[in-house]
Amino acid sequence: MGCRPPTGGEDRVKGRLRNWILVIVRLIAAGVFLYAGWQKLIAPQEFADNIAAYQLLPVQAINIFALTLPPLELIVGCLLLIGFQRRLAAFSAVLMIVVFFVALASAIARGLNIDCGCFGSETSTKYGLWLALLRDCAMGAALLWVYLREIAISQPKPVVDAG
Amino acid sequence: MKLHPFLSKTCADAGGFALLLSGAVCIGLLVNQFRDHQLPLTYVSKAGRVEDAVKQIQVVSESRPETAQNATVQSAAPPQDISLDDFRQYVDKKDGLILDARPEIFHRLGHVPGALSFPREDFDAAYAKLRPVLEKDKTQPLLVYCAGGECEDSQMVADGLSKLGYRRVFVFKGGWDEWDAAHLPEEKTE
Repeated sequence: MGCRPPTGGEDRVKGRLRNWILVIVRLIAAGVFLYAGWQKLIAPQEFADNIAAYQLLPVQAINIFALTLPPLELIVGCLLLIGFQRRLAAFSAVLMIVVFFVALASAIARGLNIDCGCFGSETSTKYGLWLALLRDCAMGAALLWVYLREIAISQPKPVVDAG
Repeated sequence: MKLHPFLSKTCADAGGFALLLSGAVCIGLLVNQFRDHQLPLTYVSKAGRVEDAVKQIQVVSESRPETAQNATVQSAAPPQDISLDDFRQYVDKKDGLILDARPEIFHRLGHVPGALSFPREDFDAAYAKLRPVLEKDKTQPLLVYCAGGECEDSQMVADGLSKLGYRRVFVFKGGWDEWDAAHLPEEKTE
């Protein structure tokens, strides 16, 4: 049995479905960023302690980072939520997730048993960092897809020369 | 040289991100100005913050005539670790003070019977609140616990109390986890 070539109607359905999935991914990511940012914003000292536990940043940079990251997460979360500057929001989210990935992977590689600090202060569990890394990978992949779609959407349509 | 459209868009987004980052730095610093407990620009470790609180308490104590004499006489004794059985004996006999070094919210949810909340994060405030019962007898046993496992709060609080001249400070390393796992009685604060 051969494959039937897609018709224009099927393409439209697929396109709509893809757009809905894009919106859902964007809204889930917005929720995660807003929640994470708020949890860190209300407890900056605990978040600074979490950052210090990673032993990656110099002492002078820890508190500045602890004060900067929550508003940045909230801004990106708001942009993702309202759909304003979607491409920039997705790019920023992917960039932050890459930074979190590097921090988590280095902590795992060094055998640190620490609280991930992803959503404010949590208790460190045996597989906490691994779970955070997996969550990070899933979010990163989904947001990278959103970003690439946004780039594709913003490409100027090729002009067809009618002859 | 003309950049590939994808690269040129990514570069533009990187520029946009730099702007967002600058905005976030400004907002973060501004929000910090309106906090009750402002975060200093340079990080101080948990142990460092307890040490700072201890120094502050010592300065205040030395300036008070009724405590200045005691402060100079007493010398620090390092805290000792105790097992669950020993800790339980102190709790049952109501001998000394039991101090819960966990954040107050956890203390409210459940604590060792008779334990007083002494959160590591608010060492100076907790000390000021409990000063009358603590300074009544500086040789009474002080038993400090926190969550257990990797928790270092009890050790930090015990070290701080020891530096303040308390001679019989004990740390129950097993903490709340071990107490709870042994199904021992607990109290809740309404």
